[in-house]
Amino acid sequence: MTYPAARPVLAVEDLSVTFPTSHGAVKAVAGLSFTLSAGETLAIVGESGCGKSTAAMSILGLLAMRSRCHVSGRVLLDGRDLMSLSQQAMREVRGGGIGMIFQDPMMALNPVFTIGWQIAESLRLHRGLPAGAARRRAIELLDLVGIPSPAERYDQYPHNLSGGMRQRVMIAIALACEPKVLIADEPTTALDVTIQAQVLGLIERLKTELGMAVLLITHDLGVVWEVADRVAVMYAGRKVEEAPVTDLFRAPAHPYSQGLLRAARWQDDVSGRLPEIGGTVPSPLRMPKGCSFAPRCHRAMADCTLEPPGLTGGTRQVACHHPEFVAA
Amino acid sequence: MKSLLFVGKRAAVVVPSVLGIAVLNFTLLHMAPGDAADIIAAQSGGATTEFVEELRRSFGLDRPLWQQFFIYLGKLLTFDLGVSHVQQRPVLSLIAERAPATVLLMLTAILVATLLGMLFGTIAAMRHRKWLDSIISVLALLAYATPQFWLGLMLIVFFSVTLGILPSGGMMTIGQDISWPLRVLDIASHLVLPAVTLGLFYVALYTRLMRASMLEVYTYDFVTTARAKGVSETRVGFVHAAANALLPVVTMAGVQIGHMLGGSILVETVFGWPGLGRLLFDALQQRDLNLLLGILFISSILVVVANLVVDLLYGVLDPRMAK
Repeated sequence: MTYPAARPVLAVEDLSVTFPTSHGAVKAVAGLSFTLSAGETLAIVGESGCGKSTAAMSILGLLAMRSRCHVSGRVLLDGRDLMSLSQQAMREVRGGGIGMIFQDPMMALNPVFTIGWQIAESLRLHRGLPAGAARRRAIELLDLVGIPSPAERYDQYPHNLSGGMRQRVMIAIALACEPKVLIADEPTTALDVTIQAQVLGLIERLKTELGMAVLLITHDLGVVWEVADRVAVMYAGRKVEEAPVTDLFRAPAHPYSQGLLRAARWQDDVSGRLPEIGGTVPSPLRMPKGCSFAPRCHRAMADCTLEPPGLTGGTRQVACHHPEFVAA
Repeated sequence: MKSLLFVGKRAAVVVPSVLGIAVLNFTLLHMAPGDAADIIAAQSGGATTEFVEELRRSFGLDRPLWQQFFIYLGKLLTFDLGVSHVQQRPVLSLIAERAPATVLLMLTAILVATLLGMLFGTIAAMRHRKWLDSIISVLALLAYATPQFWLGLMLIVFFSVTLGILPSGGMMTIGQDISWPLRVLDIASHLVLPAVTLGLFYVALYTRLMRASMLEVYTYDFVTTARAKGVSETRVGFVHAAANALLPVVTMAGVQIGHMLGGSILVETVFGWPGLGRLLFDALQQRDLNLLLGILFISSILVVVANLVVDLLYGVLDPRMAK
């Protein structure tokens, strides 16, 4: 696999998200940084609650709209810091520069408007297309995402469509204005396996055709292996490892990544027992002083509990005091 | 074709419900003590037993109850609502005279209440926990708790007596021969105070309902989708969320049209509005059984038809229902 060495389209620098609660501030994302180049797919993996969706939502500034939180850091789209944009300018980025699709296509489309209207709205808002032109373009988009007889489908409502079809419509909405970056937050989790493959194939095809960068949020390592170029592993709000996907799958360096992969491959295990990572994720209110994974880590030593490990540089990044580059 | 079938199905349900209402009305009214003969006898200032019996015979009140019921039912089917013994006129023409005023008052009140309630509720939800939300919520609570008769009287005192800008009663200026546009304006100015009195409670109710409904809709994923598309917050609220949030309000409004008919009796009395409510009140006082049955029957038909209209409206507002 080759990695485009182009200037990054999207660069996230030191992104932190803090929620104030009655028991104290909860840091959902802590100092997350990554870059994304055109034509590249970066997967962010991690278990539920590790902050991956929170990070994705805060890139578009959607988080503060539905909950009280504090977001810091920088999000650069083509070198322009989105954090410092006005509401007006930010709206142009949403759907214009960055498109986003969500986990549950059953809920993500508005039930009382036709799917065509929902696609055309984006075109009318961002491109200022008149109704007729927006309709024609929306039908083209429906065709592009592989919906049969798109002209008839235009006037149908979400409840007339299957889950897979709805996710295709979501993709059409996200891509309507040809964004540079597509953020896909668990795009296949709510779909059954055959439909998953189709939707992933579609995203992959459109990425190549349109030269987009894709940020894929998922907890499904199979999906990561299929479509990602690079992968970042998150644990308890921090990125613990980032590597080209083949490197990570062949030789994960962080003990958490190793545990994840072992659990994902348990069917290959002759013993037939599901390997697990002992213990539970620490409460965000009582994060350990040192490495947040240390209490569950079989390699933990005295120094692990003293201070959190920093990330090593380069294309293979790992945040561990005692990384282990095992070759499989 | 599909929608015609839908209308047909809904309309078919109307027949048994109207019949059921007729049975219920008849039974209830016959359980109340006293009849028209008693009242007429009392009003004539003392009558012999023979005279009262003679009255009963002529009204058919001496027959067994089940016979009276079937005679009543048979007449209903031919839309013959009988004659008011007190007013000496056919019930249907009495009602036909009064119904338009009530329908005008109720429709105005419910339409304005629904629209304003939706508007205020949407604005309050869009400014959730901001000062505008607090102001709307407090005003809604106030309006919710204000008794109708008091509100009516206070509006008369303020707008008619103190400011003198709106008429205090009646439906139109009497004794004026004016062209129809002026007549419409005249009726409209008479309509303002009774409609506000009747509708304000419902404005408050729908504001609260719409606000709660909006806050729920705001948590749905499609709102995030709209925001992620770059839709402005104003448009998210008024278009994307409101279109979903108004369904419970419409349902409630449909159910409450019958409720409002009750409220209109009071309002019509306070404002001298010549509608069904006052007719009903007078009929009740005078034990005018035929007129009472007629009004109850016609108003129940009004309510059933209103519910039918709301059902059909629902199909338009929510495409998932139209199937």
